[in-house]
Amino acid sequence: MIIVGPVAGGFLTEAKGWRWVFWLLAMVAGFFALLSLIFMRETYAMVILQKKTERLRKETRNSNLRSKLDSGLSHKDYFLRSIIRPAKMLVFSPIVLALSVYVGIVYGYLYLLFTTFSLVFRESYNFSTGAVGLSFLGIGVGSFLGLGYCGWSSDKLLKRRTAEADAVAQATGEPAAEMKPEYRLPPMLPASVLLPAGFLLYGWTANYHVHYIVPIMSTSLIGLGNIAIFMVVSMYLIDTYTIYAASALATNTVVRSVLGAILPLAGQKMYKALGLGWGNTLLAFIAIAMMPVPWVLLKWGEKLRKKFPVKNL
Amino acid sequence: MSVPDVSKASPTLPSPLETNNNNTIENTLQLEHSPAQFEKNILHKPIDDSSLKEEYAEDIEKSSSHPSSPNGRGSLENPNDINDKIEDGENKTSGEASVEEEEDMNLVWWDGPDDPHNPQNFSKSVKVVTLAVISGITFVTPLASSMFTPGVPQLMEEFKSTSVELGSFVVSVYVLGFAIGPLLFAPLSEIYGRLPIYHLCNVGFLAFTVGWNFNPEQPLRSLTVSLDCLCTSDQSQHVDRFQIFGRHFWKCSSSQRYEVRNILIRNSLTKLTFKGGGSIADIFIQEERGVAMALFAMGPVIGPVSMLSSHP
Repeated sequence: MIIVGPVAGGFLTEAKGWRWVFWLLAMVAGFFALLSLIFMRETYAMVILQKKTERLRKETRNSNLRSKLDSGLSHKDYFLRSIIRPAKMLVFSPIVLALSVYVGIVYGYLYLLFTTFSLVFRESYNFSTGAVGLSFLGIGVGSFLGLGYCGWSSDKLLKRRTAEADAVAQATGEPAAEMKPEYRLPPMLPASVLLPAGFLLYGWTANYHVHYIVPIMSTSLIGLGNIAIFMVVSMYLIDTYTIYAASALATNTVVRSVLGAILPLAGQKMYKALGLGWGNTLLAFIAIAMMPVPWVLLKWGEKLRKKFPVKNL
Repeated sequence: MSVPDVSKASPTLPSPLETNNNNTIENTLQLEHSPAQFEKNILHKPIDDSSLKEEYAEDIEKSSSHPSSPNGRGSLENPNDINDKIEDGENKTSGEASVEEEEDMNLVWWDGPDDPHNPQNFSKSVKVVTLAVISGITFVTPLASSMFTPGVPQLMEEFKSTSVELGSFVVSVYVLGFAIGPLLFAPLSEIYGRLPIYHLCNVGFLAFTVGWNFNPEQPLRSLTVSLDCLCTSDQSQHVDRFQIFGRHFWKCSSSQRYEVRNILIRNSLTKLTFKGGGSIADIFIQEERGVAMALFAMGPVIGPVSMLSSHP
């Protein structure tokens, strides 16, 4: 299903024009909007209780009534706090900053590829609009593999590493070892290598017009590295910041989204100036420059966490 | 915010409670840290425990299971204990510690454990339909972004634009909305409820999707002048600003949906998983949990993956 989007979009555009993509989407979205209008109910306990409180206040004329879930914060305070904490995390926590930038770059690369695929495969390989959609398959397959790889390895590694640390602790008579968020990081190490490798392969094979299947398969490495980095970082942030995880992830999302929107703007011009080979090599070099991040965190993450706590933000 | 498999997150990093007990976003998230451990706590107590108590129980459990405090589980044996702590917490934040007794009378709560208004007591069909609708909506969102990419060259030709930046930007601007969604709509949905935000965003999504198909050059231009910053790449382009504007906000609404959906599914998951409460329903809980977990796992699959991978 994941691949359906660009493939279907490509052929639909070819047959009916780009407007039809949006008509189709509008129909499906409208259908679900209608369903939600009919079937959905408020599910948030705090709001339901608040309404009940207001109703009871009117009925009983007791203005002292208040909801048991009332946070005591005004709407404005609540709102401000939700916006300010992620910003503070970005400034005061080097872990959040480094990982946000890393994920931002990786994510920006992905969009850069998405926005240049049509150009590359139409001009270099004479793909039709419909067939261009198929060029996304490589990344789709890679992401799928990355998802499986992360899901399969992450919990296993966490348990194994904790058990190992536990065994060491027992041998030395220390209290039982805890699961450290750093144990989540190892799957990111091969991913951080695969990503630049994928770019180098994709760039140079496309540069020399090797059969189109080769660059497409190379992009699956990029997809794999991409999703693995993304997932590991999210899990690491959740484990590290526990009750502040929502804020840490929000920070990550904001940085990532901004870079995801901006980086692609440079894509086509960069390829025009440097060519597909050196252009992608440049991207690979930047990714290589970011490679130390997971290693550093694996080694010093715990120290950094303790040195820059976020609890007072 | 995309949360890959929050339920798998490690529960073992105790964090200080402090005054953050009232932050529901984060409590909800924290709740998910360990359904298994959480359930253990819940099953210690009578079924009528509210979600708040559950959250607090989790908090208390977390703080007390810190390595430094050896009698980790002690505080959970007696539900009244938790009650006290909840009162404490609330009074602390509202600064009314002195009127605890009177306060209790004025607190509005569910009418008993079976109050049908309590989302945790919604019938199974309501829960399933809710999950289904939200999953459907969320599926459209990444599909929307990915379907359009192959059509960009055609669009650029039609509007006689040769700007390469603009060609890229009409796709990537979609992501900018993702930056705004979690910041803006998540807290709003906590203040005004999920439902109004859903409807608002559904209408927005629909309107902006349809809006793409009209050439709004004349009537809507004035609306979008203030958004020039979004498309400074080339003032003279024929691709209309509204379209970038529309795409931008379109993503914004869909990102919100993803966000809200995650929160909602988290809530629903808690409900599905812990609804029965007692040990009698073990089997059903197990089954329900499987389904809920599968649906929950679709979050990362449909959301970030299809967005990231298929995405364009």
